[in-house]
Amino acid sequence: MKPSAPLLRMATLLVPVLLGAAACTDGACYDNGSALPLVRFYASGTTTQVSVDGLTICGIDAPGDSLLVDSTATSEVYLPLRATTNTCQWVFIYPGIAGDADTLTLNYRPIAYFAGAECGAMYNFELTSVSVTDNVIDSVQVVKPLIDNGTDVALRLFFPTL
Amino acid sequence: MKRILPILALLLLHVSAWGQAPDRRHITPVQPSTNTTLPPARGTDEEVIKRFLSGDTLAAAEEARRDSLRRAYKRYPLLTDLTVGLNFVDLPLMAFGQDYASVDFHATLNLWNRLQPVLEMGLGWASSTPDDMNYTYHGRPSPYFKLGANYNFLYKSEPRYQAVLGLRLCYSPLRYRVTDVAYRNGYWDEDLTFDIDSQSSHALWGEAVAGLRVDIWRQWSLGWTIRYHAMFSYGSSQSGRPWFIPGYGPRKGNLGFTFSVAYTLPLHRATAPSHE
Repeated sequence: MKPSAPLLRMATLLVPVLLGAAACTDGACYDNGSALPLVRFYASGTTTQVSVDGLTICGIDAPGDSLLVDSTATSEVYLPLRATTNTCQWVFIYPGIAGDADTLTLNYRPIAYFAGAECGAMYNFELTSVSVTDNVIDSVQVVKPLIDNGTDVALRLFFPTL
Repeated sequence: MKRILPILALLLLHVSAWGQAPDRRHITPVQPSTNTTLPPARGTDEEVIKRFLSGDTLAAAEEARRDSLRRAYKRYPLLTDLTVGLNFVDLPLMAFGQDYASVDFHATLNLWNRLQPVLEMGLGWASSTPDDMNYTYHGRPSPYFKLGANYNFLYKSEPRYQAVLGLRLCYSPLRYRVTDVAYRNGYWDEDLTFDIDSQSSHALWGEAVAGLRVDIWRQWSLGWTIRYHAMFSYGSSQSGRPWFIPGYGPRKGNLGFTFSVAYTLPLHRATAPSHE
């Protein structure tokens, strides 16, 4: 079989140009841009997700005492962690229960992490210990000790049901 | 009665002749002009001619059939040629804004102009600071190796025209680092800059290859391949995963492309035997 030399030559020279023009990537990050622990609320002793009405959440020593959640019905929340320290504390304030609030304390180790071209570089956090006061909250459970930019639940907070 | 006797005599003669028919010899008349030995076709194998002359006509006819097939479908020598080439397609692409490059030398041994073991060895590097991102990625120059084979579908043609499909097994030990990472945490009002120091990793992957190669001048040729990558494994650490893999390209990509210039060394005098 004798191949068509002009055709082969044309294919050899033109295909690279066409492929170069067609090359592309979508460049999207389908995870979070930062590593944030997702905390989800459950009824005590169950795996039933619950919502806490009028909940307020703020970080201790947050600049300007800024609120993360302000009197909102909440069933889950992302808690940003500080990369310059090894501890973060969060206060949970409930409506109509004056003076009763809970404090969630997270101890961790920040780890510089390159998540990829699309999501960039960030800090991951390896949880070393977790504690919570029990004024309203029953208990806390660590589901995922390494906090990355994924969307999985990291902590479960159990609330008593009325 | 006198009229009937000759007819009966003729009938008897005919019946007598019919009865002797099985013993009759058939003789094919031969004209003097055709009573000669025809010379064998040009290019007929000498062994075939000897068999004809020895009188073993059945074996000779079979051998003649095979011989004609051999001459119709040429078979190239085991060591047809050796091609060495340079894949450089990423260099001009870097000039147009691509952030990475893989450049390699490859050697292809052409067996029977059909099966082609291939070895590729190269170097890959990257430097990327995406516009909307918070880092600079440095892929340090790292080697890669690819071993595999092609099958040339134009094996009946001359070796200077090739359309191939092939497979490769590839490996790269690599190093990278990420610098100038700008980190901002809005809630805690943190602004930091940090680096992720040199990281070591590796990657093992396979490639399915399709390509064309044609000669352009004397022993020089141009060729391209398009490659589908399948990642088998790569090294990750607490500090991340490599973005660029030498010889592979961006880790999340599945397609690769090479364009190379090559030089072919014939390994046999009759590399491209002609039809007789």
